[in-house]
Amino acid sequence: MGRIKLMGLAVSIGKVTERYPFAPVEVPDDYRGKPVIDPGICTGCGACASACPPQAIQVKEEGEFRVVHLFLGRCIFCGRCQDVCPEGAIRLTTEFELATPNHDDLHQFVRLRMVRCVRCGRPFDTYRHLVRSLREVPFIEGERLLLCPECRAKAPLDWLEGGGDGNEG
Amino acid sequence: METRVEDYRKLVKRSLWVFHLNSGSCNGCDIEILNVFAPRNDVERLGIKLVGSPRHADAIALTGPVTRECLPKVVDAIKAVPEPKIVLAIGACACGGGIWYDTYSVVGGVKELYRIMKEEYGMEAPPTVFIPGCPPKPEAIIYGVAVAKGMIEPKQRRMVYVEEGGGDELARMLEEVNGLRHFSAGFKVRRDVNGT
Ligand code: SF4
Ligand code: SF4
Ligand code: SF4
Repeated sequence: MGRIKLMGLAVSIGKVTERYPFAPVEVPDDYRGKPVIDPGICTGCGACASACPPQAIQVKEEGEFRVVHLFLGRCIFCGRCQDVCPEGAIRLTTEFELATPNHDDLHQFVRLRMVRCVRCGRPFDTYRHLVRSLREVPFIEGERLLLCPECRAKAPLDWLEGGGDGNEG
Repeated sequence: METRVEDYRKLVKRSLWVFHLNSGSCNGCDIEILNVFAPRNDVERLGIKLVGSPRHADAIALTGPVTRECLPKVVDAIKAVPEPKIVLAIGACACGGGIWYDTYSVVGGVKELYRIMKEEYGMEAPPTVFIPGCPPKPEAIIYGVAVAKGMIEPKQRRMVYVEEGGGDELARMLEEVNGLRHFSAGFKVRRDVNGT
């Protein structure tokens, strides 16, 4: 290619350099950016934590609270949490300007209150998740609903032994 | 750590020369770093330049989760950068270990690296700008550099939500349960399991 022709080509293409960071840059609508948990909806079910490949989301229990902890620094922006969340509580926004000099800024915590088991007193599930489960499986009755999984597993044995009518829990 | 970055900003009013240090990255982040220097983003217009030796650099662009094999070399490279220096931790791997954070062969991100540097080499952690992403978009890297140079205030903030409420929640819930009840478990468990 001749030099004149090349110059003509360069002029016809013009300037390609973006002005960013002095001007905003356009991001496609389905860009997978920063995931954000809507704390008003999240039930603390932990589905996102089991789906997250780098375990950027971890669900832990701290006394009365179940803590959904999202650490953005480790997130790989795959969107699996958004796919599995049954409540639609976690969404990937188009935000990509996440750089910060402060490591603490990269965390999101959602602390949800838990219900205590009526028999052994151990906090075992969040209020919200229990209420949500009830909508899906409304046939678990009365007190048995407020039993932790271990006590619930023991409950049928107790009916057999005690000869209750099944409503005593 | 934030204040230290601000100290650094006062010191470095000059152009930022960057040494690209790959500590076991998958190459994704490295390609994005090269993109940043390509015509579309062209950060040389901001005075940012890649250099071939850490001794010439002001900043280290660290990618990868720091494998055990390259740990001493990474420490040497950080040591070789003259003060004042800054580390740009680029990508999920550098920021928090990424998908390898708990595997046997990696240290797992700059936080762990700094802990080892302090305990075993007696070095203070340099100021660091974390740029999450896997890999971060070229614009995200430019944003990180702009944060390091003090051109932009970072907007990412820690978010903590604590659910309010307690005992009355339970009552409300039981009410809700009763409202939903459509099946009564009024059955008797058969006791003659051994007979019939
Ligand atoms: S986008 Fe992927 S890596 Fe990030 S929190 Fe969701 S599941 Fe985890
Ligand atoms: S999957 Fe959704 S509702 Fe469940 S803990 Fe994660 S964000 Fe909360
Ligand atoms: S953050 Fe992602 S793209 Fe960058 S080195 Fe790690 S795995 Fe590769």
